[in-house]
Amino acid sequence: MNTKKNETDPSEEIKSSSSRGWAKLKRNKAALVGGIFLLIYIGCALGAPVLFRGDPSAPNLMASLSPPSAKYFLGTDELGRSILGRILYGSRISLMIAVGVVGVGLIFGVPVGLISGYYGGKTDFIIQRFTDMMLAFPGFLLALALVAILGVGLNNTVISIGISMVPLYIRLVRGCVLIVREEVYVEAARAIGTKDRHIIFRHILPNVMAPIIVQTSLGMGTAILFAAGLGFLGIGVQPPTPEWGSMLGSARAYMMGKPHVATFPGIAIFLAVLSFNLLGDGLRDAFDPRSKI
Amino acid sequence: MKPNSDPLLSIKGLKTRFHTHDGIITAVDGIDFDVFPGETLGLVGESGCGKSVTALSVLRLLNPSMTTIQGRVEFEGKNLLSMDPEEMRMIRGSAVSMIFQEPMTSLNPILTVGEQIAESLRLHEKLDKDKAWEKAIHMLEMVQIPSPEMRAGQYPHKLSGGMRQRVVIAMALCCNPRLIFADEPTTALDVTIQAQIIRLLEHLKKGSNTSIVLITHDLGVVAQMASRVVVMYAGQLVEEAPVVELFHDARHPYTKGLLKSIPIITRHIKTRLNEIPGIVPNLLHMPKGCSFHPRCSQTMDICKKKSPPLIHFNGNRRVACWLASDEYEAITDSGQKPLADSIEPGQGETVQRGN
Repeated sequence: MNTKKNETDPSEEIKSSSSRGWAKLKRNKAALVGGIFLLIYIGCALGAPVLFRGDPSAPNLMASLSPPSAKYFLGTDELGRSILGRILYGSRISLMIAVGVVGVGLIFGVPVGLISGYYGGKTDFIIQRFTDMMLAFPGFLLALALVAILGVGLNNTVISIGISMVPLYIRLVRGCVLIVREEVYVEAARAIGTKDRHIIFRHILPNVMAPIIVQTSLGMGTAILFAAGLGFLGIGVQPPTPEWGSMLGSARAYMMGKPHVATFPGIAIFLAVLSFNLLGDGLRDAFDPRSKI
Repeated sequence: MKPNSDPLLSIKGLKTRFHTHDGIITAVDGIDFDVFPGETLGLVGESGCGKSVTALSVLRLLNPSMTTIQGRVEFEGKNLLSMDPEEMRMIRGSAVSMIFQEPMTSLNPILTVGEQIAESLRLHEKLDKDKAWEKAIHMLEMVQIPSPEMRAGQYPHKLSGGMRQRVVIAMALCCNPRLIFADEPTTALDVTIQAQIIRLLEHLKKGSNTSIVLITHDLGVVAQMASRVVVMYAGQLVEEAPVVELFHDARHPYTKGLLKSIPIITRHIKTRLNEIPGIVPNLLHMPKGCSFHPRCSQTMDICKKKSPPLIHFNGNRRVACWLASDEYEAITDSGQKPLADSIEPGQGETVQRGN
C-alpha cells in the first residue's frame, strides 16, 4: 500500500501547505538561529559525559569558587564543582523537564481539548469552566501550589509544571477543533458512518497539529523557565543534582564577589529558553494560516 | 407514475427546527414524500428552502443540541429518527449515503483519496487494509478516473474539481447503498464537467437498484435525471409531479415561475429573463397564509389569510395552492367532499403558521 502511495508524478507536485510552511521556516533567520541553538543544546545534553569527564556533583573544596581558568573553564561553585560540568549535565535535566512537562500537557490537554471541541454542549461547558478555573491562576503560581502539595524533586517538578500547562493545551486544541469540526470533510466522514473516535483522531487531530507543534516549542521554553524558577526557590530539583535554577539559587550568596557562579547558569537558561521561543515564533509564523507572506 | 412497490424511504410530517439566538427557525415545515426503490427523485427549490436540511435531517447529521426534528422517516420500514445513534451510524454510508456539494472541501486534505474511500469499506464491509485499498482503486476505476492506482495514492489537492467529485461519488457508492442523497452534485463544477458527472451518475445507477434523491436548483439536471420531482418553498412542499408533467403542466405559481426563469439560448438577446419578484421570506418572520403569496402574481384574498391545503390529483400529483383547489374542486367533488379529504392528515392544521 505504501509503495503505491509514493507513485506520484513530480510534475504535478503542488506544494502542500505544510511543505510551504517548512520552506517559510527555513527562510526565517531568527527561527534558524533558534533551531541551531536548540541543536547545540540537545548536543550538550546527549554528549555531556563525553564533553565533561568526571562527576559534576563531586565536591572539591580546595578549589571552591575559583574563577574561570584553563582547568575550570567556567570556574567552580562554592563546593569547588566545575560550573561547565554542572551546566552540561544540567542541560540533560532541563531537557528532560521540558520534554516531560510538554508530554504531560499533551497527554492530558490534547484528548480533553479534542473531546471538548468535538462534542460541544454540556461536556464542553464543564471542561471549559474547569480550564477557566485553572487559567485564573498565574501559571507559575499554580505550579508552585502543586509542588507544595506534591513535594519537591524532579518528577514532582515535571508533574506540577505539566499540570499547570494542561489548560493551555485544552484551550488551544478546542479552539482549533471548533473550526475543523465544521469542515465539510468532517461532515462527509460522518455521512459515511465513520465512528466519532475515528473522526477525532484521523480527520480532526492531524488537521490541528500545526498549532499544537508551535505550542509545544513555546511550552518547552516556558517549562525550562518555570523549572529554573522552582529550582531557584529551592523547591524544584534538589541538590546535588545539577539543575540550572538551583545553581542560580545557591550562587545568590556569592553574587557580588564571584559573579561567574551565577552568570553562566543564567546564560544557559537564557539561551535554552530563547532557542525554544525563536523556533516557536518561527513555527507560528510559518504555519499560521493568517500570515500569508 | 409511482412505482407499485413499497417505498424505500417514506418521510412523514418531517419538521426540523433550529434553535438560534434570534429565535426558532422552522427550516423544514411538515413535509412528506416517498422515495421508491430504483427511482431518482428531484428535490427542487431555491437556496435556503430546506432541501439540504431535509437530507441532513433524514441522515441525522444535524447538531442535536441545536435542532429538533419531528415526524417520521421510515427507511425500509424502520423509523430512522427513533433509532439509537450507533444503529444510525451503521446505516450511514452502508444503506444511505450522501454526496456533498463542494468537492473542494468535502475531502480531507491530509488523507490520500484512496485512504478516504478505503475507510468506508473497512468500516462497513470489514475489509482488511489491502483488500479495502484494492477495492478503493476499483471504485476509482468505476467512476472513470484514469490511472486509478496512481490517483488513489494522491492527496485531494492534486485532483481537479471534476475528479474530486468523482472521488466523492466513489466514496458514497463504495458500500452499495440503497439510497443516495446527492446534494447539488454538479453545482460547483464547470458546465462541461457537470454533464460528465450527470452521465456518470446515470451510468452508475443503471447497474444498480439504488435510489437517488437529487437535491438541486438546476431544473436542467432534474429534467435529465429525475423521474419525479418535489418542489419545496420556504420549508414546505409546494408541488409534486412526475418530471414530464411538471415541465408541461406545472400548477403552482412558484413552479411556473421557476420554469419561466430558465434562460433559453435561442431567445432574443434583448428580452429580459423572467424572474420571480421578491426574495425568499425570512424564516423567522414568515408571511401569514401561503408563504409564497408576497411574491405570487396570482395572489387572492384567501392566500393572505390561510395556508393552502395540499391537494392530491391525477393519482400521483400534489400541489399546495388555493388556485389549484378551485380549479380541481370539480374533480375532487365527484367523489367525496372537496378539501376535507384532499388535505393530508394533520396537514390542514399544521400548515397554519407564521408569527
